[in-house]
Amino acid sequence: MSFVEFVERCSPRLFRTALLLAGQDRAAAEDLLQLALERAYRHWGRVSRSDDPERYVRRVLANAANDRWRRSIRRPERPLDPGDAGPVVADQADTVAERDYLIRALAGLPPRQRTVLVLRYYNDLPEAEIADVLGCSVGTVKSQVSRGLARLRAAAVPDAEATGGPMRRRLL
Amino acid sequence: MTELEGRLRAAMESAVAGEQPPGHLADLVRRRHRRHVLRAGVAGAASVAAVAVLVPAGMTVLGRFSGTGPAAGHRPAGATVYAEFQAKLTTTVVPVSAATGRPGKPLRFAGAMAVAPNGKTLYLSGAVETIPVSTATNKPGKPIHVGGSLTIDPDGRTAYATVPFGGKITPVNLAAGRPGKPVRVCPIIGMIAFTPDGKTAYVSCPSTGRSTVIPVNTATNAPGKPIRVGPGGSEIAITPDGRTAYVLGVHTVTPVSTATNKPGKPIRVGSPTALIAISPDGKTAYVGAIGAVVPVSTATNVAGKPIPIGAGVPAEQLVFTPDGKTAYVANAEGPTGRVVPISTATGTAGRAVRVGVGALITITPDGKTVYAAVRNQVVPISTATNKPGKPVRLPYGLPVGLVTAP
Repeated sequence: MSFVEFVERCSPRLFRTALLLAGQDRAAAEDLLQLALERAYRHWGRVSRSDDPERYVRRVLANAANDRWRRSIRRPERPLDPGDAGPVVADQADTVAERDYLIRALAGLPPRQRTVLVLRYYNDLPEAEIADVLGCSVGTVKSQVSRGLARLRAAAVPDAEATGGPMRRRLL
Repeated sequence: MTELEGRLRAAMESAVAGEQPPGHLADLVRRRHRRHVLRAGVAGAASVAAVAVLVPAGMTVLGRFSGTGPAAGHRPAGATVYAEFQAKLTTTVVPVSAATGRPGKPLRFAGAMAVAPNGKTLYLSGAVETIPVSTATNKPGKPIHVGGSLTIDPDGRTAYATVPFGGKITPVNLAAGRPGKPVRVCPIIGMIAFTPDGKTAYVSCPSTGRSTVIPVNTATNAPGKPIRVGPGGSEIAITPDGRTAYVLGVHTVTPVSTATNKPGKPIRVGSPTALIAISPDGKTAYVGAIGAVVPVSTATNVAGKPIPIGAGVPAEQLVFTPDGKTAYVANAEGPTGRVVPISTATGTAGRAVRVGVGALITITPDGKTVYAAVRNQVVPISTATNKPGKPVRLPYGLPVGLVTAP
């Protein structure tokens, strides 16, 4: 497979991962993806011979999201604004609102926690593979997943308690 | 899977369903692909026939490259700041004269920048070759056939080239423009730091949480016994007297005696660390962490009181004025890059200078100006007033590198 074929075939999927890693910031996601593809190109001879070139690019993508070289798009933890109430309407629209709230809460997580949650629940990677991708131990991955989920729960609770909305009921 | 996990999965799928990368991405990749092939020429992936055709093409590209420097033969007084930007798949290096504050014509080349200790040569390292550029004329010299990033030894005669996942370091004779035989060190290489006498290079291997640092004898290029330093050991800073290498861990700093290559007791610094730099007098190691910079006495290896730089904000980069009286820390608050001056005498932070998205920093050798590269511009900051001057506007995207050639 040529590099260009690879880009055309895999870039939509990789771009969606980049969007989640970048906290829905489209410009940052484009930057991330382009950086990852550029690095893949540099080693394309080796990468293309591997079983799964996409895995290589995803590895670069995930690490670039945490990388100090990407400091320009790196953000500190970003709590939801007090005005960002969780969903309160208990009809079909609340599913949409709830998802939006979760995605905003995800974007507010520290980059590393966000990355492990995206790799675990969007890319469906097992913990051992995430550890391999990020160059850390499986225990670290587990703890980051656990902390990330705990923060999402915590982000949901106050609003739900204040509003009596469905978020608390659904997330706990 | 808990209910939250299931809902998170559904929310993520829903949030990005149908999202497509920019339509021009494939075209950009093709163009960059072509530029790389032309420039690489002898990369080895091409057939012999292709090489015969492509080498002249590569020379043409390099010829154009040489013509893009600012006023060939003229060198403005004072230092030159080289800022590297990336937009889409194009990387651009722009020389900015510290004397005039004006940008020169851009150099188009992808890769890592390194400046020789005497400041006379800027090395631009791409995937397969390194181009030495005279900082007097911005004219490129003969390419060195080694890629990756260069760490140059203190006397400027040799360097080690490496790529993060390459596992090897390649010694390079810079004077002869010739790479030596690569030496396998460890699967993932974090950083290389030379002792001041240049006799030993310490290579960090942060691959799996059981991080090590490997001393390399620069005379023989032989790696020594790995030194265990605990998880997260990626950055290394060596004291000016060369006696101690400080290795940054996740929450700790580990001092390593360069005489014995034995690690000392890890020094806890609290919140997750990001960088380490040693003051010019060698008395203090400054550890950049989340929300603070922590001074560590190199005499006692005891961490001092953290210096706040903004709650929850990680330190990204730190430079000292030559007299060591002030440290400047770059960090980001949301999308806004900031530069925070710190008095090393009092251990207090001054008012942050907001500079824009990004914020890489460097300082001129006279210590009068800190330059911050941010999205589409380079901002000078007077170290006398800690106020930003008129920015140099450069529409080339986000900064990815910044160096000063004295």
